[in-house]
Amino acid sequence: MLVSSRLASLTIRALAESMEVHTMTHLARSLIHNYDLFERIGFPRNISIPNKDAARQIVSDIKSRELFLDLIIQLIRMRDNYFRGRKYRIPYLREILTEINNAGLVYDKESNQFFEDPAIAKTKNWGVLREHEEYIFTFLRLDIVGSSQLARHNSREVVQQIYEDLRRIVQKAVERRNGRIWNWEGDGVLVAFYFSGRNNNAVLSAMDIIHELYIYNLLQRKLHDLLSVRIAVDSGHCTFRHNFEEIESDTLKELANIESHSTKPNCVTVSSNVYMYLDHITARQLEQVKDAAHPQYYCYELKWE
Amino acid sequence: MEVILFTDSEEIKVRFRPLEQSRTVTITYHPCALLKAGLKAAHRDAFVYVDISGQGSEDKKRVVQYLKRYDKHRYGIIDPEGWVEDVGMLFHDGASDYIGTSLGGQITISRVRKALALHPYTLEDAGRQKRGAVRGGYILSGSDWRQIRSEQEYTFSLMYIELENKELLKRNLSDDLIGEADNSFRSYIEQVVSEHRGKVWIWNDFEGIVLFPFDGTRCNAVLVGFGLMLSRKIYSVENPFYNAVLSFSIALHLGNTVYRRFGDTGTIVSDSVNTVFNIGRKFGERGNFYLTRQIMEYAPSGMEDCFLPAGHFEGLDVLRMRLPL
Repeated sequence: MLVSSRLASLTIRALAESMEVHTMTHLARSLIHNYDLFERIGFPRNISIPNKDAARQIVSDIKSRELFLDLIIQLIRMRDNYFRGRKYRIPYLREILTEINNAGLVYDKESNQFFEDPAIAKTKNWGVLREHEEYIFTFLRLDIVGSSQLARHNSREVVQQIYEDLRRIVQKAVERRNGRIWNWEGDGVLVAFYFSGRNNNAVLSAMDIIHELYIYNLLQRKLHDLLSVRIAVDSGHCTFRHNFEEIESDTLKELANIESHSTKPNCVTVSSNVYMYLDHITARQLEQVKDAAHPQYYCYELKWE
Repeated sequence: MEVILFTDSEEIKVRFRPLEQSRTVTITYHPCALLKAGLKAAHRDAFVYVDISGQGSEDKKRVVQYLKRYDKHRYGIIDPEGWVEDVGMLFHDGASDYIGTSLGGQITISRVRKALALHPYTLEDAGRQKRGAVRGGYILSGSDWRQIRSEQEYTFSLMYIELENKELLKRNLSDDLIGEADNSFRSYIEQVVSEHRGKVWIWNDFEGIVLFPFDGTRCNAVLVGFGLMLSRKIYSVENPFYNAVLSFSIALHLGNTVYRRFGDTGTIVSDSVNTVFNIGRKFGERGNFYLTRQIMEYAPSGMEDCFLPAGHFEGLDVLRMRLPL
């Protein structure tokens, strides 16, 4: 994120007017290991550093290490919770958040994180995740069932149209729940969810896709073969890489396994990692998979009276 | 927005320069001699300015008379010499703008927009659209809202919708939160129906009537009701006010009513509106989606299998949607 001079200046004032230099130093150390303010600012250790100078140096160092948003998250925590035994009144925090909003990022209270405002941008890392860093994601993987048969039975134009329609359905369902499409393969898609409510959002997106496809098939069945999909949802660690090809993750391997081996057509299979965090209404829509080999999986299927 | 200026004066053209720099306006200039041919070729949404300066009194009169009878475009008259004596009459006769002697500055986009808003549709439309086309007993309201005018009768797809759990909500929420929950439910319905050109027309206490224009060929409102019933569990989870699976009662019927704007519907008398209210409130079991067979004929093909016969109401065959479990 590009930190404007006004934003930097507001943050310097917020730090300088809310805490002593040693608290600032502790704050900086919570973000930069072994941070030494005296060494950075060049003052002899027996001379006290004025608040404003300390704040200016810390903000500059934090900015250069691209930890500015983490600093603001720490300031919000200091205001709302405790830092080293007490709460702090942080001036200018509202103005700082407004500036950050203007830069296209919004603060998610539940997860204590910033992410890009979906009305402005939708990037793979929500504008904030860092390359090579490991995070816990919830993933949704969708595969078209019988894609080669679909291609054989329909003209190329029709197949292209079907894929385009599926893309539209998936995109609408996941992006309205803050999911990000990480990869479209020929006949499948991988979507990541990261922020608060990510498990619920992933499962609700999957259910939404199943519903929309049902309607799509109802309306299109006279034109071409039915479009059938399998969807799996699982969560776990994954190192973020902008280039999807470079991602190596056991979670994604397990997800592919669940999707291809434990999911029926037009069903969603959810791992217990995800199931245990679901809202009770969402959880009630799922049934435990009746498979002795995989009792930890749960399934959603559209059933009619 | 397209603006067409008929003028022989460079000075007048200069006054329209701000419009040239706008991304939202295209302006074209024609000599006055090409008025009739230019109007014939112009797109019907274009706004036309006609400069009557520099002409003899008889010519000016002829142009004003011609525009008075002209009903294909909205127009304004440019009269820097102040020839027109009764400017008000020009507006009564259909003009949307008059630029007279007092205008020293330039013409702004804001002015043209205001002029366009003065007569939001052309006079020809007003004549033609007093009543929708009648086909098979239906007064067609069209495929969207552009041709629908207040106080005129049309055929609409009329949808009644009610949140079944409202009594439970009223027991559990404070008055303020009930108001918020009602607004939230209404916004959700507005957002869903607007994707198929529906409009919430009557609303009160978690229930209302939605109108969908009807063009005599297809009725997507069936799809809307179907989608609402299918996604009610997802909506229940995603809405902060509820902690239970919500249930909707929906009724859909094709019928006639005089159209008035939202909020002005208190005195409307319509058998069709009564029918859809009664099917929604009194017919069959709550928490279902009922529709009349008459509207099913216009439903998107493929939806027939999703509905079952449910009986008769006031001589109408009623069908019920098979519910998702």
